[in-house]
Amino acid sequence: MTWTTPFTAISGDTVTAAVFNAQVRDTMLEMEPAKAQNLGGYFVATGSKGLAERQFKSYLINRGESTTSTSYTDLTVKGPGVTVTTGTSAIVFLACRIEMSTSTNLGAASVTVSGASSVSASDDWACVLEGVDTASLHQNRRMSVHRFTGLTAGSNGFTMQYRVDGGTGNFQNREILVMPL
Amino acid sequence: MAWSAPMTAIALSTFSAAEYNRYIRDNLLETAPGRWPGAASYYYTTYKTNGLAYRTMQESFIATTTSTTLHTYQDLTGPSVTSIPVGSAMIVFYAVRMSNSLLDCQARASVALTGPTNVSSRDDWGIVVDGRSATQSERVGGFHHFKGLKAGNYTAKIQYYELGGGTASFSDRQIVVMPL
Repeated sequence: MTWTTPFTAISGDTVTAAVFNAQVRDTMLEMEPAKAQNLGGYFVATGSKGLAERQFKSYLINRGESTTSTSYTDLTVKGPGVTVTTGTSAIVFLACRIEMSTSTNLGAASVTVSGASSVSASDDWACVLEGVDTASLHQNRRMSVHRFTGLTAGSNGFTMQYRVDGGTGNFQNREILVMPL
Repeated sequence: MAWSAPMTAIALSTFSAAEYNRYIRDNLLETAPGRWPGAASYYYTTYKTNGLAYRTMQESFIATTTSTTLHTYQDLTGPSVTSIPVGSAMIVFYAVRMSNSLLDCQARASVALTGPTNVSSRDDWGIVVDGRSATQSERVGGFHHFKGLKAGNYTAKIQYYELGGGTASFSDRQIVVMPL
């Protein structure tokens, strides 16, 4: 079914069942109430006269894990990550508590996209901790946000990954929130 | 009124006033324009199958500095947002400028909810400043997606605590809520 631009009635004309079904029934099935299926859903335009219901998706992993990798990588417990249906864009919020073994190195948490689209994790949208006195291994929790555009519409997975530029980084209280558009 | 799946017309059948009222009038009243609350800056969310509710984002900001030496999350004059109508979830964004009077001690903040479902502040979604020189501050942001909430009205507030033995200070405190 698709949205049909409502016809203009002319006095004396007959409205047939076929016209009713195309102009009223099928058009109403393209409206928000018909598409409202999931608690907390919201609505986005998918193209000319098209609507889709989307949902925020989030995940939190409290477990702390470490890496010495200088390129973005998964931790032993991968993620967190969520898979959502998107159009061509999505807004992603991420947060992470970071603890570094050396005060001269940085730790970073970013997001990679897989599925219908493929986008590698990047410092461009990472949350980063650097230059913190390492006595007693201090922890700081930081967040970042990024709007991914140019995605291939469909099922896309958003997963947090991590890196350091030296030393050992420990990452915990790792949280991701995705707003698909 | 409630949404009814639109009827399928059959050729040569009569379209009654009752059918018009149910399938056209009442259904149109369930759409976004039909449920418009009379003001701008609202968005619509699904609160039940085939049901829309209008919501608005709310926020509160307090610039003044407040402090604590206590080692559990506690209230320090807000900020908070009250009377938040929630269907099943809420997203909270917040930011605070934080420091500690001692070298290498922590200042922490988090968010708690009170309402049909109570949620205590937790480090899981908290923000932390640590390992800085005495009195050096940073303004740090955080967020959390509170899910599985019972429907009803809520209050969201920022809470604070100190770890390490100094005095933690908090200023430019802001909370923004997006009820769903």
